[in-house]
This record gives sequence, structure tokens and C-alpha cells, in this order.
Amino acid sequence: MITLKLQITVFLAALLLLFFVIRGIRSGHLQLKHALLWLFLGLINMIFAVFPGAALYLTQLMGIELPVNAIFLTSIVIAYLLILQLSINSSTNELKKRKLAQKLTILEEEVRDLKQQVEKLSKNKL
Amino acid sequence: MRVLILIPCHNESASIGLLLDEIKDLHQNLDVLVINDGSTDDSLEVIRKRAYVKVLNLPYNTGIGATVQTGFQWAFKNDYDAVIRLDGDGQHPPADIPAHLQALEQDQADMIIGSRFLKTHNIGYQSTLPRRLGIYYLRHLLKLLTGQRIFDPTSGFVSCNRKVIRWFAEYYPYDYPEPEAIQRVKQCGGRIIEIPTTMRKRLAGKSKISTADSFYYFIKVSLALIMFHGRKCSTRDI
Repeated sequence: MITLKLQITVFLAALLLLFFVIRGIRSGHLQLKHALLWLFLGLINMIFAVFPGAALYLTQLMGIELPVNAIFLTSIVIAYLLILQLSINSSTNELKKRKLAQKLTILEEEVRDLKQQVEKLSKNKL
Repeated sequence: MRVLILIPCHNESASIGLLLDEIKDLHQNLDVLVINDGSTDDSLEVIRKRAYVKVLNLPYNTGIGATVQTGFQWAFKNDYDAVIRLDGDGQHPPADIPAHLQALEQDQADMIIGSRFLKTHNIGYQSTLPRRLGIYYLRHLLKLLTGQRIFDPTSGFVSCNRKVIRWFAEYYPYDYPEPEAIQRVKQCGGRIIEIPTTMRKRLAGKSKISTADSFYYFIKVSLALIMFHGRKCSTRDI
């Protein structure tokens, strides 16, 4: 069974999470594409809180004894996915940053080289 | 044949000047490129004092792989036929550059590795025992995965023709890249040979690889070689 107290706790926690996520999206600090899993996490918990039957069904389906554990497990799995998404993001960002640095470095050298050639040319004309 | 000497440099102010002078004293009229990888000492000033040296100056410390790759990208863009890469710490004797040049000119292989462990030539600085064990292990792992025995798979004294310059400009492995770079050349169908070299102790400064790093090195390189086994000659970087 899920107690009313647990229902209220999960509901409030999900509400708080959704509040911060939506505020982040609206203010532009959080891109929607990165917020989807967060929204999903908040919504799932919201559903568990409002319809405990859903949590009970899931509990039986997964062969777990306590409904609260089913709620935890679901949240943890989504949280892991979120972390994986972050790791992938940070890896690609690092690669992109490195590419930029390499391009910049080569361009900088080319500009330096061109400047020297221009200087030489203008000196010759004088 | 237009040949570029490529030297990655991160905080090597104590040795890089000497190394550059040694290369100049070869009188081979070689173009020299140093890629300064965000040095915090006065390496950059030491290099810039020598007018015959081209300098690429990375905006932050990107690591050895990205540094070397920047050099290959520059070499490719500037139509060099071959690159000879040396470490900035002076371990690789410029006196051996002519041997690399000769191998390149005779097209003996696409990639030539300066090796300190060739059977006929086990002299000079052989590194510390734990590292030699690591190298022994890598030698066999690479043999298993690529079918070719490379006696010195961690050597940074490597020269390449234009084909390999292109492969490396497109993709070059990032940290501790040498064994993976060998794997890549094999995956692209390149020919590799080793020629003997007599490595010296670094001229100055300390090695950048600590004991903890060695452990990470061991795991990282093994995993990378196994994970990327059978991969095609990819040109995709990101």
C-alpha cells in the first residue's frame, strides 16, 4: 500500500522539480531538448502520487514488494539516463571545443603570416 | 620532397631551444613547426627567438593528441609531402632524422617509427622497468589486434608520408595516442616499419607521466585498442 503521507511527499517533490524545470525553460537557462527527461521524471512521479494504482501495478509487474521501491527504481533509472546524456554532452562539447581551438590556432598563424607578407610588400613599395 | 619537422611542446623551455638548435645544425634545410600547447613557462619566447621556426600557439592546454593533430592539419593544409615528429623534451636525437628522411624518400613505408627496442640495436636510453613491461604488453596486444609486431609502440619519434598526414589530420586519438595511432594506420591500410633509434634521457624537466597516470594509461590504452578494434578507417571526428 501507498500511504497518503507518501503520496503527498512524492507529489510535493515532483511539483517542486517541475517548478524549477519549467522556470528554467521559460527563462532560457535550460534548453527544452535537455529538459525533456527532467520533465518526464517530474511527470512520472506526479502520476504515481495522484494515481497510486499505477505504482501498485508497476510494483506487481516488476515483482517488487514495496510500491515505494518501484517509485525509487523508476526515478533512479531516469536519473541514470540523465547522467549518461550529460556525459555524452560533455564529451561532444570537449571535442567541439578542441576543434575550435585547432582551427583558431591555424587561422591565427595564417593571419600572422599574411600580415608579415603585407608589411614586406608595403616596405618594398616605399 | 617537402618535409616538415613537427614538435609538440608543453612546458619544455629548458630543452626545446637546444633541440631546435640541434635540428638547425643538421643543415638539412628542413621546415620546423613547433606547436605550443598552452605552455605556462617561457617556451613560446624561446621558440619565437628562432626565426626559422614556424609556431602554432594553442589557446589552452589541449593535450598531446590534439596538439600533434593540429600540426598534421597544418602540414596537410600547407601541402607537405612528409612529416617527421619529435618530442619537445629532446629524447629523440635529431641526428637520426636523416635516416627517417632516407626511409621516406625511398618510400619504404607510409609510417616510420623510430624504435629503441629493435633487436640489433638495444642501446641508448631504454626507459624504466615498469614502462618497459608496459611496452612489452602493448607490443603483444597490438600484434594480436593488428597482426604486426611493433617493437616500440609508444615511440613518439614517428615520420609519415602524405597519406598518413591526411589520415591523422582527419582523426587522431587524444590522450596517450601513439599505440592507437598505429592501430589507425593499420586500419587505413598503411604500411609501417621501424628503424632503430638511440633515445636519450630527456634533456631537462620531468616526465609528465606519474605512477598513477601509468595505471590510467594501461587501462585507457588497452580499452581503446580493444574497443576500436575492427573499426574502419574513419574520417569522422565528432
